[in-house]
Amino acid sequence: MTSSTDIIGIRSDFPALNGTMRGKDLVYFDNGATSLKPQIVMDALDGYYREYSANIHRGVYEMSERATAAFDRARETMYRFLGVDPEKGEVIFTRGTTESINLVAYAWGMNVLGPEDEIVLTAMEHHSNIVPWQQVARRTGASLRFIPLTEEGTLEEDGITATIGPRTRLVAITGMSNVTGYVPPLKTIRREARRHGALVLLDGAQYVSHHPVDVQDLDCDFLAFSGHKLCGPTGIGGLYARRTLLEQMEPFHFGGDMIREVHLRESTWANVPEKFEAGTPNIAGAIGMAAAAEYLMNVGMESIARHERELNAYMYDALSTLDYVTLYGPVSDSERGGIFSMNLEGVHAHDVGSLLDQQGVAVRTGFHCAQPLMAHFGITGTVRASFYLYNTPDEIDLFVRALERLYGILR
Amino acid sequence: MRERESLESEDPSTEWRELLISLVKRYHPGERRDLSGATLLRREVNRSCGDTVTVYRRAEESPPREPVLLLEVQGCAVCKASAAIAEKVLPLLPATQGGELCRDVLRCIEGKDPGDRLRIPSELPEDLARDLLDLLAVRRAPARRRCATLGWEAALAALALTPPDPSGTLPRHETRE
Ligand SMILES: Cc1ncc(COP(=O)(O)O)c(C=O)c1O
Repeated sequence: MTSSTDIIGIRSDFPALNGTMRGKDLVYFDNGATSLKPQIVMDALDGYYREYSANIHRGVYEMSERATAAFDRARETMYRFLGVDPEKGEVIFTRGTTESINLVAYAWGMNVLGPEDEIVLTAMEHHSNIVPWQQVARRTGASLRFIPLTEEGTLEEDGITATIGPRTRLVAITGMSNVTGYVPPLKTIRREARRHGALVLLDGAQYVSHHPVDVQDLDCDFLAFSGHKLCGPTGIGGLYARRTLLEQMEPFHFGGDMIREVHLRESTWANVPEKFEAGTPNIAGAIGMAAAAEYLMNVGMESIARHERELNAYMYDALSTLDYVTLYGPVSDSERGGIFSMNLEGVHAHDVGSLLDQQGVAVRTGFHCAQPLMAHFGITGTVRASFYLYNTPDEIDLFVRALERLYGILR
Repeated sequence: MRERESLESEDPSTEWRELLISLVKRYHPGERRDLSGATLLRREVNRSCGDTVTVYRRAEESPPREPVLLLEVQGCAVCKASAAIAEKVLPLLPATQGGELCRDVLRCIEGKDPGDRLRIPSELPEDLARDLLDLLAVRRAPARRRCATLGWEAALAALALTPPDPSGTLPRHETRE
């Protein structure tokens, strides 16, 4: 485990952790929804707004040059964070994972796919990696196929090889389930996709904030992520994609900044990445997200992942003592990240959430934008506790004691 | 019609949960009911969690039984308690007044104005009136308001589908004291 002194240091970087909720010390276990922000990120945002909040590009004055340089540096930081070789790949700034997936759906899917083609998904996807593909399928005639889930919500090699086939043009899959924390066998999926010449889109909303990422090694064609889940601000995220693909793709949004030349009846497009960044971008957001990525790199993504594995093991043991708790997802820790979805026998998730709130514990309850997965488990919702670098075993103890207390009240 | 205010607690941050827990205990869902022959009138879904309230009109029975409208809940304790109260209260009122009460409860729970008063119909016995007022505590928990309004919305819509009997009241059985 990251030593307790490291954790104390880390916790002191996050002002929100000094706060209370309902008069109790805050236990923030809703990191799957969004992470808390370190002071350094707030400082970066503040610095931009306070000192150099000019628009980027084309400004021929110092303040705009400074903003442009900070924006360009933010992209370079994201290259380092994700292991992007800018000769081969690019990071497009978007509003987050949802917009990144929509970008691929519109700019690639709508233009390239046809009735003979198949898009392969799974039923564990977040709605943002299902609904855009339903739209693509409706408009292009392409079909959706779903890799079957096991009872515990995992994928098996047989199901993967049986679903990805010669008609598959895209496999769009989460890198880590936002409900169960399950990390699917990405290597097998990629191998099968490659074998059939299909592209791979990874929904990295959860994966990227919890694992060291090297896109060369992940070898995906698209990787969508959100800044707010990796300690950055809301309203900013990105899409990594292979450069050759982006060059072939049509733009997603049209307007200023994404053009080379505009005539009255036609226009030509700027190079990648500007071709995909129409209008004034979220400059402060990009700078803030880069500050967050820098912060995480300084702590070390490997140690964050290790710390979470240790929290997982601790949580797993603690919950195993409560026989009225049903946990969803894989049993093996090697297959799960720091997300635990559960139900307490006979008690609705919202009621658990409200009573945890009363004890200062923030969790998410409901269907977590994953209704097909809920249907798979035959439930309507869960209580989800999700960890990040600043969480501790003591907080898990508090959470478990709170569960015991509230179960006593509600049953 | 009597008019009363909901009782505000000393500790506004916790009281609503205690009130609700006590309601939940009193309105703990019983065994599954027999819905054979019942007509489905309305189904409302809470979009944020998938919880549902389905309103049925009970099949004619002899001797007839109260209540006529059955509110079946797939949902949380707040939703269950709220729908159970609606189910008990509505048969005691003529249809138009039932509809008014539904609207009034919705207004009070959703209302921005904490001073909103609920007009409690005089037909309601003291304990039901008390529970109805306790339920209003949920307005302190914005994220849970919808749990409490779902049943009343479904009931209101179902009432609109229930043809009034010639006397202008909700079809109701006369055997009730
Ligand atoms: C797995 C997964 N995909 C996609 C998203 C959508 O991310 P955003 O709302 O930041 O666009 C989320 C957010 O919860 C997620 O967990």
